[in-house]
Amino acid sequence: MGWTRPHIPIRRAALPFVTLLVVLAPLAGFSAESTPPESDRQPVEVTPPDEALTFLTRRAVLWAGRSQVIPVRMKNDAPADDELTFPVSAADPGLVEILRPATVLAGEKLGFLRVRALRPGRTQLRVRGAELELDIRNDPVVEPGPRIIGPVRGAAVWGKFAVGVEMLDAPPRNELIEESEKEQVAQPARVQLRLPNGRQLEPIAATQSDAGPVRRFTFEVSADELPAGPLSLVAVVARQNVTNDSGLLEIESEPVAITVVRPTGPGTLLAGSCADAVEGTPKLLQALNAKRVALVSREVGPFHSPEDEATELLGDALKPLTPSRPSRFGAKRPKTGPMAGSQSGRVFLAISADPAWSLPFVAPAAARYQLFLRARGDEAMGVLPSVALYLNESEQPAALGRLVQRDWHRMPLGAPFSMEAGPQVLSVQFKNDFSGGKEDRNLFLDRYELLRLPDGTENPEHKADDVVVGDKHSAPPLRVPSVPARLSVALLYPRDGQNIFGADAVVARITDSPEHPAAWADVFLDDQSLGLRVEKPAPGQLVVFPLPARGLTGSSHHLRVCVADDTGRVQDSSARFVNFLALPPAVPGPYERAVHLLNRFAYGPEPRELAAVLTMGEENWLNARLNAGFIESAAEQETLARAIAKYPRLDDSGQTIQRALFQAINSDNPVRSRFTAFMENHFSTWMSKTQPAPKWHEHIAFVRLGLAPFADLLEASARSSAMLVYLDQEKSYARKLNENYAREIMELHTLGVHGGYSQTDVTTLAGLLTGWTLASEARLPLPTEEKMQCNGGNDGGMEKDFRYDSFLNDGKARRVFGIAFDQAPPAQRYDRVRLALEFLAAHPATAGHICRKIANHYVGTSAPDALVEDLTRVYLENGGDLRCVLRALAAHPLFWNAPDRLATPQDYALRLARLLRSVGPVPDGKNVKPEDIERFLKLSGMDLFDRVTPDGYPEQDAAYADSNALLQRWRFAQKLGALLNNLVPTAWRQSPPQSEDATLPANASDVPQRLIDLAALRLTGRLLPTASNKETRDFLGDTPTAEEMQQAIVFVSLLPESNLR
Amino acid sequence: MDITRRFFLKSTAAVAAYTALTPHRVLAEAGLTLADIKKVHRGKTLVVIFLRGGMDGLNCLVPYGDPAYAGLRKGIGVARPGQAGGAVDLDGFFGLHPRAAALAPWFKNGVAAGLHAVGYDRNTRSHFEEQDTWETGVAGNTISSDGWLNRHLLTSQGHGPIRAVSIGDNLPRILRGPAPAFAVRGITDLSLFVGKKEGAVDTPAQTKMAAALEHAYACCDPRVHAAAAAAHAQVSLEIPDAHSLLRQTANTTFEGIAELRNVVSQTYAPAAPYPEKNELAKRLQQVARLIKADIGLEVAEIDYGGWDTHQNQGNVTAANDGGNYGRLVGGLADALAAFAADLESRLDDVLVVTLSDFGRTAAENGNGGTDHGWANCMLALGGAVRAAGHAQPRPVLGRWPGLGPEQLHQKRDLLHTTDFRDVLGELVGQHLGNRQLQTLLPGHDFQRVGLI
Repeated sequence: MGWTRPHIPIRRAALPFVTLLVVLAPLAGFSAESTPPESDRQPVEVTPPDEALTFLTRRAVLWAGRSQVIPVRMKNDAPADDELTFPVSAADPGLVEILRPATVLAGEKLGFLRVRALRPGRTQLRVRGAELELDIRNDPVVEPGPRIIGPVRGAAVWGKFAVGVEMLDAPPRNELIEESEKEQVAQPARVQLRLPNGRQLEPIAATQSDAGPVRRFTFEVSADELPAGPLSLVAVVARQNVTNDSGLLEIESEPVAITVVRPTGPGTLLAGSCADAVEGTPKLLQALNAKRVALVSREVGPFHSPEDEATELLGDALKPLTPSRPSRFGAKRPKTGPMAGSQSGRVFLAISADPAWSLPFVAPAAARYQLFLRARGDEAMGVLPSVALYLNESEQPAALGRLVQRDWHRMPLGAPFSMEAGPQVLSVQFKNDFSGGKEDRNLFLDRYELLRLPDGTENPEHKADDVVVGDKHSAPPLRVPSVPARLSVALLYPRDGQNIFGADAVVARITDSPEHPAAWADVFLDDQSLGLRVEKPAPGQLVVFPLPARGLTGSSHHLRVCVADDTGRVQDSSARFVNFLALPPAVPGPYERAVHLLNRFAYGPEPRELAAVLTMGEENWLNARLNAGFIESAAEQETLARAIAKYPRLDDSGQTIQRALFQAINSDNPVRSRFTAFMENHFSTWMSKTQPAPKWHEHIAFVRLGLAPFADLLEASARSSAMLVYLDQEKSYARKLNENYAREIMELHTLGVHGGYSQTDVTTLAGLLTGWTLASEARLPLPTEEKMQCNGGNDGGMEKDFRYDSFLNDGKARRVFGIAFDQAPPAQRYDRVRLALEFLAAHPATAGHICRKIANHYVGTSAPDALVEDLTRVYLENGGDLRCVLRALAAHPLFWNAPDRLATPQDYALRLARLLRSVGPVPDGKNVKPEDIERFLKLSGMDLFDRVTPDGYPEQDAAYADSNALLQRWRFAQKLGALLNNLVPTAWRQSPPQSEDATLPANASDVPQRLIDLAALRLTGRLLPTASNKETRDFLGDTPTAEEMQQAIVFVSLLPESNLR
Repeated sequence: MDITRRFFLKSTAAVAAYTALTPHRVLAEAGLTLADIKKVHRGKTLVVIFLRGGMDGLNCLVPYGDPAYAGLRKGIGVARPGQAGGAVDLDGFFGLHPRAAALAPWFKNGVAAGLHAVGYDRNTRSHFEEQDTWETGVAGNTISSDGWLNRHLLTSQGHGPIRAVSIGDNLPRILRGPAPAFAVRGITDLSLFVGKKEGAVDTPAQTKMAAALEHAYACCDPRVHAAAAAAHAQVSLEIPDAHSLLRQTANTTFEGIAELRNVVSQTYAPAAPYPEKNELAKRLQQVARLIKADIGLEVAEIDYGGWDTHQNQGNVTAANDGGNYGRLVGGLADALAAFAADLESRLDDVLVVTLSDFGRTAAENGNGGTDHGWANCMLALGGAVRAAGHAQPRPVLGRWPGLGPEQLHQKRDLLHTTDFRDVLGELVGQHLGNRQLQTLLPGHDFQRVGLI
């Protein structure tokens, strides 16, 4: 199946000669310094004293292609008396475009400037005497690229049809350039459509909505000129004004796979005028009979088709019937009328969902059918009509689609649908009627064509999977030729001469040959087996042995790992000499540090991650985990696909939670997984209000972004329909403000409650945000959702998508918390919101608030101010890149001194589930079930996606210390019972001990204690402290039964130490 | 495990454990200090029954005396007293739904009362938002508030280890917040471990394990980290470390369970029979048991859902027993009547109230049901109601706004004449004795209702 191929937009360096590159001439170079630019706010002209301003940091990171706000501060730290504007210049104007001069508003100490980086490199930014070192890097994430909105995946096409592409195209406004000049400089984005055989099509129409930043492109594709069969469409845009190291940046859309069919044979096609079909019963039949001849010829297009392709129809085949519209499609009388550009003369007018357009007919055979419409629509809120096709009285749409342009176009409505033979009524309903203010969305239908698909196209979706156009999006898996490998084992950790106190681990790498795979590996201390033999170690993987050092003292003990293959051949690693300390060392050793690092950055000392930290080193391990992309990771993609296959319902809350939990349990990057959970909790939304599908989309957006500059995370949240529903932004209008989102974005998401803003700022920002909203449109499934099921639920297949509607905004000039927004014509209003988001992300109060939250999460709510201040500086110096912040955190002495934390219920469950998945071997499905975790979290009051309030689940340990939460943990762990046994080798749990068994520790005199130590090491990474150890020993007794030993393992998982992280 | 050893937990110890768990910050944000935290009235219990879905108050306390009532509800209306399927008269204007007749004697003797036309001015008619409003006690931006009953716990001191219980799977929002509150499916569901069938006891191994666990938690101490303690010292004083939290929570848990087990271990014979096959009655019986056990229970919450009767609500005729709605309101009345009878003299210390999302439309809709409306009625039952003494002349309180076309809110719903926050404030202030009403229900200017 084709799911492993990540359908993702990628950036590629195009050949240099295809360049569409336009670099804006910098108008604010060094020479312009003496003439301050004019601002349409016309600030009071003051000549500030030299060096009146200073930057907050000495250096800053910018991202190529992105506009960013940079804060400046009054050097004397006194509020400005009047509004001050300072010209800004870049040492290398080819690298940075200055969009807005540094402006300090009256009464403020902080001011802001806005720039846009053009290419990677290093340069300096200057304001008066102050200088900022700029490090411009490649944009870490892809902006929203082009998106094919019609045809939808799986559609069957013939004749000439329209392909619609949408993309956000809103370059940041340069306040230093007059609008008239700007039009000459800035070019709109160019989009092309890629077809097989390298054919590239240019759009026949490109429109920019007055309402918002969305640009639409229509392409005309003639299916008849393409070979019949699967076809993949890809839209490509060349990014304006931005280059990477190797040239122009291109962004591709997700490919949309469709099928070209050839209508042949009698009775396969029914076509006609939509107006005729509804204009009364007898009249229609008369008209149909009269036009019998006309109907025989197939009519297509706005892009009409050659006459000789006419297809025979009627007869006993597809045949219209007496119309009778199903009652649920409305009682109103259908409206028809003449309209320019229509081919039928009269068209069907849908000004609301009622009435739907209906077509009764007799279907000749049970088969799959595809409906085409020739349609046009009026736009409102930047959104075109969406239409749904229903069969008879069914309440679930058989097909759904969006119109792709305002003018007449011929489009397949959704994908093919199945229909039985016999009388049928097909209804097409206008799904997203809207009118308000000056806007009114309407739908007009000219002609319909209904094609019975040839038998060979039963399942075009599946065939389409095999189509790849142009470059493959992911390289095929690297095949390593099977070279006979010799059996060997290398001991990688500990190092020679290492000091060990309490506990440690031994890590080895095993090499074997496919013919004679390794049968077991074992670790020996002073030539005595520790009884930790691993059966059938996975080739190429690291093998980890826990090393309890209870009662061991003295220097120069030697360790070695031994491996045997199926022929009985045995190989030893070289020996390592280690020293066991009697007292804890002054500074923790690498093992103790690894456990702490994994407790805080991941989900505890699970073997795979423990081995990685110990062998790669802390810094390399963390960098590898921080920098690993989600989209590029085949393992993560596979996990996601398995999660979707197991929990396919997009409209089910329980499955959405279970799907996300499955991902978190099985992700091979727990650092990313924890960070994503933390960020989603920061931008918390509540699924009961958002509904499952938008919540899942938001979740996936955060998962894909992972560790990113904070501005990207903020924008992902701000664009998510979950957030805009949850905090009522979709219900905020210029004359009826809803301040909910404006308040929380400042209080919770960015500046923090003590960030210094006022109620006036909240109201003003709410006013600025109006128009940042959602509109209802036909659902276009994400590529990851290809196999997901959604019966439409209450939304009937519609979804709320992010839109910007400048008509919902008044465009008035506003001042929000130290930054001024000019009065803006509709076309510039979207950019004002972008500016506001950039401003919020760059504000030093945000840096402080986010770094405080990060410290609270990774260190604890007792995190000292000094740590937060250091992190804040790193945030400001690195363009808010949270990878840098986490790296700085892991390098900070105060991180390493952090006291123990209470594991939240989510931590507790995920730590256990991830651990149990990695010890074993535990077959898939035998692990802790996401369903069990969900139930446990629900009973503990910390269900995923179930935080009602927008502040997210609290970080304070005290919030998770209540009787109910504790009881639920104990019950949860006890239910795992048998699974927990896998923490300890089977032989250890037998009673009486089978002393002949080679897998028992050689020194098996104190099996109960060794069992406790091993369970504790697996669960917590450490030996139990005296009190807990004593209770466990007493519970176990000296000659425990097998059952008591199993209970003791469970008991260890209930202890206070297992509730820490 | 030795249960009697710590059956009586000194209230001082409970308070100490509790305040250690209470983030001081929360109190500080409410403008309170520990000195403001006063003890509540001893022995009083408030039982809240949340009728989820929006109960149709006009068919519960039926205003048959309103000239517009019968016309608005031609299909589902309750007939006048005396007619077939007619209301049980209360005061010549209001009557009880015939299926709720079990409550009639309690109305007659003044223990039960109704309060009609309760609501507030910013109802959105959304289940989500209005349940929030009633549970948080804050109109408008309810999304960032804890439950008002949790704020009650936070701003007062109790007399025992288990102050608040919700009989159900989840802690409802009305009890959610920083102060500890139990959600138990049933008070016999008390195994430390896997949920058991009612009445089942722990295996010897589990008993042994529980005892060992209790000892281990009692000794839970931070690992010695001299450097860590020094580095984090400045704030660590205010923030309890994870080990202390675990130790204290486990202590509270073991004590609480021992307490409940003690209650459960004594055989309980209700003083009056409870109806069969009535989940609400089953839960109320457990509450009665806890009240009679005198363990300091102040607040009990029970959800009773299914009231979103958009269609086929049902009516009462000679041939019809009241349908869906009749079953619900009958179940409610039967359970309440049994609970009142079972409590006997303890009823004097108990106050039961019903809350719901909102009222429903005055007129019935096209599907024989009612849609989301505005004001609603509340039922109250208990000694405090009788003590107020008003029930005899007026068993149904509140100014009646009328159902005439010009009297209806937005020409469709019963108008509110009593603000719900005034009622909630009276419940907590008068009955439980918590005076921190401004923290409980912030931003509200309280008016006396006189229900109790």
